[in-house]
Amino acid sequence: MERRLTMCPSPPRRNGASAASNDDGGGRSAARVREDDSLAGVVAGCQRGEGAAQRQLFDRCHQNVYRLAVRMVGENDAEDLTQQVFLRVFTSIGQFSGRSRFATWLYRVTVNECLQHLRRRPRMEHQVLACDPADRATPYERRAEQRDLLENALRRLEPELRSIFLLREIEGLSYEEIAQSVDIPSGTVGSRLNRARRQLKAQLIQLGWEP
Amino acid sequence: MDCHEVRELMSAFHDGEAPADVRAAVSDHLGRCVACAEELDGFERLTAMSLALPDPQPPSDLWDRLEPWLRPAVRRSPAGRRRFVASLVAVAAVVLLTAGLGTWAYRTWLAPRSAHHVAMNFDRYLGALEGDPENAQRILLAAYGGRRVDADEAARRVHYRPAVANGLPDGYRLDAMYVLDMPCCTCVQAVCRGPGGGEVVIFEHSEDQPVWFGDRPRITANFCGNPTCIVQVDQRVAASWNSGGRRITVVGARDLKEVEQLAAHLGGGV
Repeated sequence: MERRLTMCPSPPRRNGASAASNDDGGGRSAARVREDDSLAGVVAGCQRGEGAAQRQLFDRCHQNVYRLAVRMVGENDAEDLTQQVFLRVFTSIGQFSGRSRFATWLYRVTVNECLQHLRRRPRMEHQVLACDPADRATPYERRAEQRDLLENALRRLEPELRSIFLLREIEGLSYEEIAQSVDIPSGTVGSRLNRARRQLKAQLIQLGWEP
Repeated sequence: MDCHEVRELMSAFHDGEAPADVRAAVSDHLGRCVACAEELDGFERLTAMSLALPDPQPPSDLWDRLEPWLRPAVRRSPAGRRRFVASLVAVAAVVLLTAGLGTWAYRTWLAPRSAHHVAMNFDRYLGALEGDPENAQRILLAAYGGRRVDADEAARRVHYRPAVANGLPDGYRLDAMYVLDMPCCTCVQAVCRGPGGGEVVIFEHSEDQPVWFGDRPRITANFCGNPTCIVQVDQRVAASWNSGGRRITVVGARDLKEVEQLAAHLGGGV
């Protein structure tokens, strides 16, 4: 399925290691923040405090930030979280040295803000499905049911694992990029994704999903 | 490879992050092991379900709400500045003459210190406050991890009893208290209702530090023997002074008389 594009497409990363690792072309990998010389110039402008550069950076990146925030903290808080992320970005962009990719640094700020927000907030009540899954008969309804199930299961996943899963499956980051974004050894990304996927599957089954 | 080893490598294999020789060994195992093949199938289905999630779209006015926090304060007209300064001078003279507080001085606020000194930047908050007070408060809380507390919890968080917790002048009511994780320190914010029904916000910082109101016209007056920086915010006044080694900033006072009253009550002297 082709994901709606927020940035210009970049070459797909996957190399077909398994049946599901298909080249999704204009799909997930196209949702990444495009890193090129123009972005470097925009970042430099932001570091000089230029308002136009700040607007450009916001325009290029805010959908990625918002999408991750929605999945991490919910739609109600995602707007405030997104604003908070960009406030942090623009006040601390002078600390971005350019040694890593800017997207990695941006995701790091986003994940940190989301995790801090979740630590401060009382645990959310789990959303109750609108209707009995058995009532949904058409393929469209079954797909909608699966989306609801996955969103519910994601909310039940512990935040640190949720962030890693989302950075991989939604934002399309490599293991090295994920490691930099959440500040963990790159060698542990695979094992954490194993945990995330197995826990998600268990939650889905508990919610009525039939594997 | 056995099942335990393959399970450890399952995500790396599924995500194309495993080296070629490892992929070959895992593939060989998957061809012979139903359980591991089913697990990989489960990972693949999760990926497919993730790709099918809708892409949430941010509100179109997100930048408009963020931008006031990023730009310098809107410059007022030179004529407006002169009128404001003249009116403040007149009012300040009357207040000080009446109260017998002695001399006052007019000078511009010192330029902000270097980046190594953390200053409470009220410029952005005041800029947003003039246009949309509710949104300004929301952004303030979002930007600094604001959390609503009572006086006792505020005291526990900041390790001192906030001045507001000792009571407000007659006619004032405390509506809400928050703690904010500012870059400088954990700050206490008290949102109050004044005698006329207007909102007055009181910030208290644990350290005596400079505050930055942007390039708004300002004066410095002496209240209770304490230099107090005063600026205009729309039709109201913001003021900031040191109090016992801490910094108190009031936003939303009607006039200097109210600033004087609050300074005397909250602690305007060392």
